[in-house]
Amino acid sequence: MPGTALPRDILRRPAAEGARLVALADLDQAGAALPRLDDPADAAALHDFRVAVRRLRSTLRAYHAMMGDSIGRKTRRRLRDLGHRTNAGRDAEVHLAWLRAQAGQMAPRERPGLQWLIERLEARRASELAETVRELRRAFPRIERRLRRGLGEYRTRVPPPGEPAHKRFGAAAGTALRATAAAFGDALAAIEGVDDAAGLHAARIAGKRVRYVIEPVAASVPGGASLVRRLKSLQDLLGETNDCHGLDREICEAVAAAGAAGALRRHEITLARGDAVTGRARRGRRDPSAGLLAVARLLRDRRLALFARLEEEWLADGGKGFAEELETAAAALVRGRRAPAVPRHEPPLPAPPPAAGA
Amino acid sequence: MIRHAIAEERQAGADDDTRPLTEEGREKMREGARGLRSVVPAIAVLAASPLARARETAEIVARAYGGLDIETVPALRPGQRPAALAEWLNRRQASGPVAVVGHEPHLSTTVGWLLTGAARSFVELKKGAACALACDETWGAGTAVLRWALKPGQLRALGD
Repeated sequence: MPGTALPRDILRRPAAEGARLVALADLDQAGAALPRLDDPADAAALHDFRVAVRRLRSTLRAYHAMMGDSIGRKTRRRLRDLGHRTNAGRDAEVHLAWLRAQAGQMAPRERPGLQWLIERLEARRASELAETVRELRRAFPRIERRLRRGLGEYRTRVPPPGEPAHKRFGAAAGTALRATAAAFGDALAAIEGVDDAAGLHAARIAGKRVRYVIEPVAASVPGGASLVRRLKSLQDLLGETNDCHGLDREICEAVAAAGAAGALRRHEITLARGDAVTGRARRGRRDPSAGLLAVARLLRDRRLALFARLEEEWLADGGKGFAEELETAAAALVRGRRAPAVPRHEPPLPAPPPAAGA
Repeated sequence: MIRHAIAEERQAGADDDTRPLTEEGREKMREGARGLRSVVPAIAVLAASPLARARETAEIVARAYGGLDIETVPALRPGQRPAALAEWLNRRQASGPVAVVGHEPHLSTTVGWLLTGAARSFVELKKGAACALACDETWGAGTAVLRWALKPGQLRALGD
């Protein structure tokens, strides 16, 4: 997704300014994705909006100390709520895509269950998405205005002669990278096993926070591009794992609903006492239980395979090797010896209208 | 109101926001800032547009005053409405002189609007030049009076 370019000298800018420039670039991304939500054919719009909001929240969190009181607690909370608002619709979309891809592996007696689950999720997605888009269109512009004002106006200090100069953004980014990397290491170490949904989710979020700190400055740190690439790969791995856990919960609810529907069907048949079986009872003969069980098995196999990869690629050495590379990158940022950053998003958005002689 | 000092030429494809001052621009501005201090001995609030050449100019002014905070104000960006700067000034409620560093033609248009109510430029502000406005109550269209306007050479001469 193209977006706002960050200035090439961002690492040398005052920390307060650099942090705001990164946050404003994230805000630009969210603002650009918002009108696309109205286009039903733009399947990536909601995803892009979600990612931009998540990046923005991550940037505000990582550079909280540099933002001072320019972003109020209420605005942060509203932004968080807005991000959460998009979860159910997105989850339903991802689950549907995976379920549809499983049709070929299902026996004929299992297919009704798969189809039943797909229809259940489709109904949820349709209602969630429409409501979510309405809510985002209503609430985001106000939040955006507040954020732009808070982020756009800031203060930096030019010290009297003899006093040290302001902290550079590069040093602030190095400090933020160290903090997020430490939290990421802790989160990886805390994963208890394949069924630890909360632990795996926490590691996924911690990994994202590291990536969002390093991405805007990746071109200026040793091995920056490789670090980002590997963090993305981890995010895919843990993201899929998280989706499996989400669909697991979905299936549990579906099994309960199917059980209730089956009980109702038996009740109707009993009441009919040999008379003509009602339409609902006839339809209910296609019991979804076998299909739901088959989906649950496939999901369990997928989850085990993903966890095996996680163990092999990330947990085998306790994440120490990766942590050392992150520390090298953080130290380089703090020292500020490398070339300034290049723009993060290509191509850049057009600059504000030039004024003659400005 | 201070216009930024001489900056590097605009280049095709380059980001105009990051265009820095030239060495000549920095040197002349250092001299001009000393002159500014002789007519405005203290600044309560120093603000600049987010563009590099204005920020760098503001840093030179800040050093001439022995170190100051610089407030970055999007309302000083080229192309902004004059009213946006007035809104910021009213919101800021400074207890003393406010110095703002910006760009042309935005600055002189804003000066015209503050003085007459019409968004027309009639005060020439060369690079590194400054003018002083005063206002009794609320900044807005036609609410200000012009105290003085000095060319860059005049400011430098005052700093000698």
